[in-house]
Amino acid sequence: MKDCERYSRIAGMGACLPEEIFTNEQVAEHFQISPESIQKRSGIQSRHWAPAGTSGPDLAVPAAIEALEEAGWDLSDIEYIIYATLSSSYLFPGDGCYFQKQLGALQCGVLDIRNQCSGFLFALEVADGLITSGKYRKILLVCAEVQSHCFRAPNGPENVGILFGDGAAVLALESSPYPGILRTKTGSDGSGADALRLSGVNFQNIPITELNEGESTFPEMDGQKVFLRAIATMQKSCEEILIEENVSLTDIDLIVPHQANGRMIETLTRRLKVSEEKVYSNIAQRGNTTAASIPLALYDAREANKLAPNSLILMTGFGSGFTWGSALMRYT
Amino acid sequence: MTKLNVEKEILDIIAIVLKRDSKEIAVGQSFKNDLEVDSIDIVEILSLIEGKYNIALNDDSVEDVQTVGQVVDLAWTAIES
Repeated sequence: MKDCERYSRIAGMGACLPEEIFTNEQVAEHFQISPESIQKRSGIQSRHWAPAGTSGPDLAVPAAIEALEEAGWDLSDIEYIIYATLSSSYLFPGDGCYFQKQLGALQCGVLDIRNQCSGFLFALEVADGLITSGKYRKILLVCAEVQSHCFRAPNGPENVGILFGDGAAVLALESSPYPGILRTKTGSDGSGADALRLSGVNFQNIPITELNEGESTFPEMDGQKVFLRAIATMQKSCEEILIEENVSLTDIDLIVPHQANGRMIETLTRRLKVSEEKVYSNIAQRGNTTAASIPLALYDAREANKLAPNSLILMTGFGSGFTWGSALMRYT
Repeated sequence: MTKLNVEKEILDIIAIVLKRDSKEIAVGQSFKNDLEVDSIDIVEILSLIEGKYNIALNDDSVEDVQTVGQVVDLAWTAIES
């Protein structure tokens, strides 16, 4: 538990998904893989894909309005915005500023976090630090991805595109004398930076007249290395944060892991030696929504009545970079 | 339990995951080049092996595993330790 009398807690949550749902049957031909194989390899049955022209902020704004309403905040109450995404509309500026403009909350600072699938956990760590330090009292934590347009390369490495979905989730975090976020812990290992990346769109190759050797405008992934490292690192990260907070897995009411792949979640569950019921997964209907995955799963878990008041929640994730993190939260 | 027994059982696990006859699997085969196994299959194979023997394979070594024989060696090392 923190050595302070101030915590950050979730005052409101919101989510927004594109209306159109694409089943495995609908996308199988595009990726030249059978629907059964998609489900077997990923646990994914369908995903939401946004129509062309949709941006992350287009999804994030309705999610933010929902979170603000639940929190009872006006737009003018927002003191800071943290925006986590992999799929910013432009190399610069980040989508955070577009979100701020679309929401109409121009009175505060915006910080973009670009830590891919771990983006939420890094954003949460920063938000929690800013609140518990007393710097801000009300922070909007926004996670949004519209990545399907870029990822739909058929026959790409490991058919990466079938794994990803679009969506947004927003947390309204506020200062509280009661927990709240109990602890966050993040980590990185840059030696894995090449294992999952989008290399072709970069400042070394602009304007893009032709790709340099080894570059691609589609995501590249060393799947074996990424998947195996993800499982091992999330397990270790969970174990470390539990020890640091002096709680055990039996104290945890619900584990909400990053929704990267159903097989990874199953393996993590087995390695942590917890029951399947203790691990929440919405990947079958959402796919991997990258930075939005954990807060979207939190939102869905609450909708499914699996996020009881005062429950102890363990969140964990791993992503490109390599980057990872875990967080312990008392949901109040 | 002998290493030969473990090898046979691991070949059976791989055959089940790949939906092949275990006689088509050999220790010298490469997962990617010979068996056309993708990364998710590897995760499943290793997960089933860990579950069967109640072991944890060495995380650093397992990332670079390329052949059936390497997996057998890793599993046997974990079982013996």
